[in-house]
Amino acid sequence: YLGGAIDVESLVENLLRQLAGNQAILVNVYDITNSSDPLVIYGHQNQDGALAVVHESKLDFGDPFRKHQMICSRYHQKAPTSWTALTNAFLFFVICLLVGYILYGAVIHIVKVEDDFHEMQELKVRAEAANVAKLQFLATVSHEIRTPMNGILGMLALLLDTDLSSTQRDYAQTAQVCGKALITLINEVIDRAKIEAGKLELETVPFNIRSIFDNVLSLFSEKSRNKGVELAVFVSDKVPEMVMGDLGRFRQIITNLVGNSVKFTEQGHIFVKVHLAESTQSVADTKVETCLNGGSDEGLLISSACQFKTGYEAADERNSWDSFRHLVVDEELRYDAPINTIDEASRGVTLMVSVEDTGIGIPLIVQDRVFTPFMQADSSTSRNYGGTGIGLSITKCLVELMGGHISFISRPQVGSTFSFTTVFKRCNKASYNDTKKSTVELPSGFKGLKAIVVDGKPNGHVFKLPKVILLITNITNVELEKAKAAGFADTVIMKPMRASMAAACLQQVLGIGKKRQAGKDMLNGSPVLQGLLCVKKILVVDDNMAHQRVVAGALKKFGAAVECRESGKAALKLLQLPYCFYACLMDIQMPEMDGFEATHPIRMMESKANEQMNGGMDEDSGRKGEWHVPILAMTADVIHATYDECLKCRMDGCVEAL
Amino acid sequence: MDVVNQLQRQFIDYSASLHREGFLDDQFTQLQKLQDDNSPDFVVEVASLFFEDCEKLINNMARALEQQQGVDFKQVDASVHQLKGSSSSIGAMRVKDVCIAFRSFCEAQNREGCLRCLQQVTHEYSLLKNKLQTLFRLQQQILAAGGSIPVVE
Repeated sequence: YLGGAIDVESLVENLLRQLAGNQAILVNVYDITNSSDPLVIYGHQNQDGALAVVHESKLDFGDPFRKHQMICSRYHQKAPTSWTALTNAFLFFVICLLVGYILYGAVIHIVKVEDDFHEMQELKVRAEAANVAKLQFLATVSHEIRTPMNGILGMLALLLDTDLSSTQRDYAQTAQVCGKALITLINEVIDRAKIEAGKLELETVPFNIRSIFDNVLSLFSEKSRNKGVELAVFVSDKVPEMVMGDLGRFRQIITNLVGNSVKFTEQGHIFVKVHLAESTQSVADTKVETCLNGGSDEGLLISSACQFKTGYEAADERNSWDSFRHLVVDEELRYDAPINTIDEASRGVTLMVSVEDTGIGIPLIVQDRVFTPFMQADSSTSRNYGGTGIGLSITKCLVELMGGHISFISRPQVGSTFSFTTVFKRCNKASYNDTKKSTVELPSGFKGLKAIVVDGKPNGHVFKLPKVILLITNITNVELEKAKAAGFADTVIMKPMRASMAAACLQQVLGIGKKRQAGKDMLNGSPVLQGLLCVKKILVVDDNMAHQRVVAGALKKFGAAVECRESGKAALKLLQLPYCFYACLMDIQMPEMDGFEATHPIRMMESKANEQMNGGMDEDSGRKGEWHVPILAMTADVIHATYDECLKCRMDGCVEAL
Repeated sequence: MDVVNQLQRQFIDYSASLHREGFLDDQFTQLQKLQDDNSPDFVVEVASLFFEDCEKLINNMARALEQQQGVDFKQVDASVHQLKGSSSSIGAMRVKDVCIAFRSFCEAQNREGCLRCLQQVTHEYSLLKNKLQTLFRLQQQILAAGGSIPVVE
C-alpha cells in the first residue's frame, strides 16, 4: 500500500458526525504555541452557549516547535424545544378527541332515538287502544246508567201522581229535578264521546225554523219571566219556512246558547236573531234614526219591536236597535226583488243566528278557553250558576259539523253575544207537504192585519189593535185582575211572545176562526156543566120535602128545569110516553111505592113501545126503539146490594144522597 | 155602613160558631151557595121544610114508642131514616149523629135506648131551630139595612 491523500478534515467530520449523532459536539483544534492566542486550526470559530463539558486533549503532530490542543465540548443546553411542534401535536390531539367525541355522541344519540321511537310507537298504539276503550267504556257505562236512571225517573213521576203530603211532594220533586239533571249530564257526556269518536252523524229532515224557536222559547219563558228578563226571537222574512237539516242538533245548539244566556242574565234582555248570511253586510255604516216602525203582513212575524233596548247596553254594538231597523227595512226592500229560482235551488241556505244577552259577560282572561270541554269561567261558576261546562264545546262541535262557525263577543258586566252560522239544504216541495200538519196553523183571517207594536219599558206595554192586548214580562194575578176590570186590556200575553200564543190570544180576543163568543164571564163553578143541563126537564121524586128542595135547587143551578113529586105513583103519571123529561131522579125509600117498584112499570112500557116500533117498521119516526129515560136512584146508603138491585131493575145508576 | 158592617161581622161570627159547635156542617155552606138571585129565600125555605118534617117525624116516633103492647121498631126505624136523610140534606150534623145512634138502638130493639135517643133528638132539634132562626133574623136585618149577606167559607 503506497498511501493516498486523505482529507483529514472531512474524515474527522464524518467521524464526529457519526459519534455526535443528535447531540452537538464541537471539536476544535487549536494551535496553542502562543497560549494567549489560540489559533483555530480546525473547527467552528463561533461558539455560542456555555460550554459545559470540555474535554481537552493534547495532540502531537510530531512538530517540536508547535503545541496543539484539541478541545471537545458538548453543549449542556439542549436544542431549543420546537414550540410549534408541540402545540400542533397538542391541538391535533385535542381535535382528534373532539371529533371522536362527536362521533361517539352521534352514534349514541341515534341509538337512543331509535329506542325512543320504538317505545313511542308502542305507547301510541296503546294510547289509541286506550282511547277507543275509554270511549267505548264511557258509552257503555253511560248507557248502562241511563237505564236505571230512567227507571228512577219513571218511578218518581208515578209517585208524584199519587196523593202526597206537601213535604213528601217537595222531596219527590227535588229528587226528580236531580235525576233529570243527571240524565242531562249523562247525555251530554255520551254526545261528547260520540263526537270524539267521529261517530256523530247528522240526519237530514225537513223542519220549520220558526217553530223550533217557538219551542225553545217556551222552554225558557217561565224562567226568564221569573227573572224579569225580556226574551224575544226575530226571524227575518228572507229565511225560508222549511229547510232540510238536523232538527234535533240545531235545537240542541239553540237550547244551549239560550240556556246559557238565561242562566247568566239577571236583568235586561235576551235577543235571538236569525238572518240569511248575505244580508249582514248591509248592517255596517248605518245612520242613527229612531222612530216607530210598523207593519207586518202576518200576525206571526211581529218583528218590529221599537226601541228594543230595555235601557241596557248590549256587548255587540253592531246589534243595536238602529242597525237592526235598517236591516229589516233593507230586507223588506229586497223582498220584492225577483228571485232566481234555478240558482237558489242548488245552493244551500246559510243561516246566521246570534244570541245577544245583557248578562254578566265572560272575563277577558278566560275568553280563549271558552270552548274547551269542562271549562267554566270560574271555579265558583258551577256552584253559583250550575252546569258542567261541557255545553259550549259540544255546541262548537255540532256547529262545525254543520259546516258553520261559531264566535262570540263578550264584555264583562255588559253582556255577551254568541253568533254562529250553519248551512242547511233547501227544502223541496215534496217533503214540505208532509210536515205542514205539525206547524201552527194560523187562521187565514190574520192576513192583512196591521199590527203596531209599542214597546216602551219592561212593564206595561200596549199592543194596539182595535182590541188591546197587554204584552208583559211578568205580572202578578192581582194586577192582572185590576187591568181586566178597569177595561184597560182585553187580555194579557206573557212574554216571550210565541207564534202559537199570539195566534191563540188574537183568536180569543177577535173571535176569528171560532164561532163561540169570547169574553163572557164564566162562573167559578162549572161552566161546562152549565151548558150541559140547559133547559132540560128533570123529574125529582122524593117523599122528603127538604131533600127534594135541596136536590131541585142543585139541579136548577145547572140550568135544568125541575119538577118535583112526592110519590112513585105521582111520578108514574108524569112519566108517560112520549117523554118530556130528560132524566129522573128517584128516591129509593119511599112509602107505598118505592123507587124499584116505580121503575118496573116504566121499563115495561118502554120495551113494549120499542117492540111495536121495531115490529111495525115505522118509516115516519126516524128512531128505532130508542125509548129509555135515564132513571137514577137516590139513596142514603149505597151498598152493593142496593146497587145491584138498581141494575136489576134497569135503573141507570145510583147517586149517593148523603 | 157601620151598622151593616157590624151586622155582617155578627153574622159571620155566629155562623162560624155554629159550625164550630157542630150544629151545622159543610152541607149547609153548600146550601147557602145554591142560593142566588133566582131563589133568594132558598135556604129559609129548605130550613122550614126541614122543621116541619122534623116535628112530624118526632111525633110519629113518640107515638110509636109509647105503644105499650109491642113497639113497631120497623116503623120507628123508617122514621129515623127519614129524619136522618132530612138532617143530612140540610147539614144538621148533631141531629144526624143522634139519628145514627137511634137507628142502632132500633135494630137492637132497645126501647129504653130509643126513648133516650128520641129525647136527645127533640132537644137537638129545638136547639138547632132556635139557632137557625137567630141566623135568619140576622140575615133579614142585614138585608133590611141595605147590605149583602157575606159568604162564609
